[in-house]
Amino acid sequence: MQRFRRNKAAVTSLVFLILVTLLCVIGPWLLTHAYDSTDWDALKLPPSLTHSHWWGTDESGRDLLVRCLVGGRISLMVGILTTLTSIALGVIWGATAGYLGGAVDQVMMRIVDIMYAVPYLLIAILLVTVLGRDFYLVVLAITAFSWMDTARLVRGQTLSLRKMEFVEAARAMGVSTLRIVVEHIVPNLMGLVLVYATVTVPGVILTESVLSFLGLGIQEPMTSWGVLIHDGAQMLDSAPWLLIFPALMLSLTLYSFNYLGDGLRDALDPKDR
Amino acid sequence: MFAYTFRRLLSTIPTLLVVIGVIYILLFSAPGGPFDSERVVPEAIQAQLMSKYHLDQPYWKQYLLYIWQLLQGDLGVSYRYADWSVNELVGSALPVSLAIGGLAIALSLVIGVLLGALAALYRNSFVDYFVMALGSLGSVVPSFVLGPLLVLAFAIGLKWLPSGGWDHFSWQFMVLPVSLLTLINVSTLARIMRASMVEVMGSNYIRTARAKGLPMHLIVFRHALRPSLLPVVTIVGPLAVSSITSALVTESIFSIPGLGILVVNGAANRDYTLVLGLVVLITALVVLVNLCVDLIYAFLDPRSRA
Amino acid sequence: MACATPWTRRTADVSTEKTLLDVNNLNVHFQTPEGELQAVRDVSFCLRPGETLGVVGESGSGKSQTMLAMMGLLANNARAEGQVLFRGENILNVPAAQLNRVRGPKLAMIFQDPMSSLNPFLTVERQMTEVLQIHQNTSRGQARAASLQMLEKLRIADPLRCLNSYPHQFSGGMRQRIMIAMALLSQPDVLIADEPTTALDVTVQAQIVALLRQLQQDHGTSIIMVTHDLGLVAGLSDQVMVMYGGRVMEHALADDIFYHTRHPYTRALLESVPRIEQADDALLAIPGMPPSLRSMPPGCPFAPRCARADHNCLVPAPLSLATDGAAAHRVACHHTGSTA
Repeated sequence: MQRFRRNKAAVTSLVFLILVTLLCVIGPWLLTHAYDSTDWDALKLPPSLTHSHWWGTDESGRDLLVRCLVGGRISLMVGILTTLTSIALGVIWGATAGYLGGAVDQVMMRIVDIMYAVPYLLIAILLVTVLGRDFYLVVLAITAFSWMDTARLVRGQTLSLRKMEFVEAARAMGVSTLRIVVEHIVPNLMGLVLVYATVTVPGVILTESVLSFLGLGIQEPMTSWGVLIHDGAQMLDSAPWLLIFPALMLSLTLYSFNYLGDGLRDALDPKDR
Repeated sequence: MFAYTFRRLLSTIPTLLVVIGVIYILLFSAPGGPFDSERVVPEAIQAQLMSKYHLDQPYWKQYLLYIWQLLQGDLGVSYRYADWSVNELVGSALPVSLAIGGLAIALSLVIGVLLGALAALYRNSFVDYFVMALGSLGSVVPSFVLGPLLVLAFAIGLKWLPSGGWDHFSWQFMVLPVSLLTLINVSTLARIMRASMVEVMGSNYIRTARAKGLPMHLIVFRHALRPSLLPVVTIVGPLAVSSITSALVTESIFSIPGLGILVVNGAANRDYTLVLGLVVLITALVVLVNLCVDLIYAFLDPRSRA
Repeated sequence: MACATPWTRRTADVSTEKTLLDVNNLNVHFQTPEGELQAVRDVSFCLRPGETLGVVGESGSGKSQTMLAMMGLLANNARAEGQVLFRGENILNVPAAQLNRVRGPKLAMIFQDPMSSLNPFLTVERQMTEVLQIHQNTSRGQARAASLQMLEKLRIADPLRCLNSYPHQFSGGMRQRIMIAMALLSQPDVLIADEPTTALDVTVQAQIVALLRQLQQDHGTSIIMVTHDLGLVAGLSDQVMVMYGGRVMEHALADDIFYHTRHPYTRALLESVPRIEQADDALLAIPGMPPSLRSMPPGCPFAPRCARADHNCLVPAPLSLATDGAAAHRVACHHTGSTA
């Protein structure tokens, strides 16, 4: 804990992220404009503090600030949900492979290797093509390719934990494999998994943003930062702020997650000191 | 060396088969998938699908026939446009992507390695800080943000270059897309090259080389360069994979008629067979690139040819 | 000057021998986040053709840094001061081009770990021939022939296959032989061996030492042998220099160091070497730990562990010639008395 607090960049990032999350969740309720309400008198208004649209409006008169916050909700939600599922999958996969060892381990890890070889974005696109652009399907598609790092890490840790005495003791007492995995191995991995989760989130948000930017992710009427950036890129010559604000929010959020992850890793890794 | 090549080749085949198999199964068994019998498809296309994909055969035969067809270089037909085969569509799009992608990779390798080496040899100089800053930029700003920013600066602001489009490989339309791709890759490559070279230059065998009284240029080119390049070579594999993402984004931003746009539009149109064919093609290319990278690595590092 | 006194065992006319290496007041400082540390303090010695100098000390005594400073191989954050004269010409802190005329062809160095000290990406031939090609402008063919000859002289089996192989294909002992062969190719006047046998088995150690002795006899090469092993130094050296905490503690002819020891530290070192004749099983170790560079005691660095230390030792004793009888014996201690 101490070490983490000493890392100013990480602490700043954490504060920033909490701020952003709060803003995205609560903000839209506090602001006067709804994210999809069109204001015909204020089309393509540049940002300014003088009028009520602080960050300007788009070509349909929708307030950019609100849309950024609402988009943030979606982006963050996708990020967190996908991370949770891919971590869960990765932990189960890795712990099982590491604990059972032998041929099972070999096969499971071979599958991981093959997954790495596949260009994930393409498969995600393929999945979206076939299954459609439902929010949960997007989560599923991205999860399918984000679990491997966690699986590898967890497997490694499991392999070393397996040899430790308390696991031997449990086995000697006849505790079932599943119970050992769940009760002994998994809790010891939590610290590392937390770090990995923080690192996975930005990657996932980025993937969703790319998909949305290409027009293959989140669908109207929902919006996300990726969608906003896509829209903003179309209006570049007449309303550049439509690109800049969502891009800024996205970049800063990704940056913060990275610093946070680094800080956590430094703080939790005993070897690093 | 030859034995190693052969062994590596052998191990890529199962990977490819599994990948294609999985994709195939996904498409053909997913509810609401393209070959679901409830789908209503125009006559002409239905006939083509039937003959091309042998939909009247049992699943395993379909799969094998599909593989056989792939081996003959036939990527299938479009689901939406009766007149077009995937091969034809690829034929017109592939050269465009290759031109831009190839140029970008070549440039980024040369510039990246050069910058990284200079930063390592002249630490804490201007070059060094520049490379570090570039590295940070590349990891913070996503390609689909950087791209429009470049357009904003050079096409809209300075009006030096067109903001997109394509005209038979004429250079003005290539500058921005190639620059974007190069910028993204250079940041990673330079950072890795720098770290690698710093480590090599601090190693014991470089100390021996200095102790032998060898001139600096000899030490850098004969003794330090090869070991320093190894991590760079290793990263080319993953870089190639991420280049696909970058290519998709770049072609979208600049409206380049390459493979990327083909995939994106195919997906938007729900042109299943086209996307299937393209995914298979690109996966095969990626596997090939990874194989080449492994071979180059083995060539460079005598220790790995166990 | 340190070389005014006769250091050599040989009875030949000492004054006509041209001094090869003359090191005067060598100091090495490191810039670290904790401040400036001094690793080497006021080291002086000299070396004549055919002589062997043994430099003995524990890890952290500054012996390796002294050698690295002489060769211009210090780390980026290190600074050397003083004078290092090779055949009268200063080679300390001179531009690389000038240094490289001496470093390599005339003043060669081999290192402790032969695996990491040889380039794993180049063949043995490449690493050996380049020395001759660069410094003596020999052709590739001639350099290859010379390398083969040298490998044979070092009794390496199948020297032809050796040349075409890579370092990782050899054992530790073989690699060290290759390093020695590589260093001796241009027939240097001085060979610095920094712990050459520490990473090797005992049997291989003996072979390497015998090899060095043989080569010295054949070519008349001067050797500086840096080690922590007194036994290694005993058979091979003419003069011995004992270092501790970055300073020279005692410097004398080999026999005098062993049989007329003056410095408490040297004595403690000798006593701590286990001997088979010793009846009891107790191993005499020197109590305490070597000083960390960050917290150097004021005065004599050995004082905290020395049985004879007193308030005088808060001021370091200068390295001066012992006045009783010995021809050439420098000690840095307030409490020397002859205790044979």
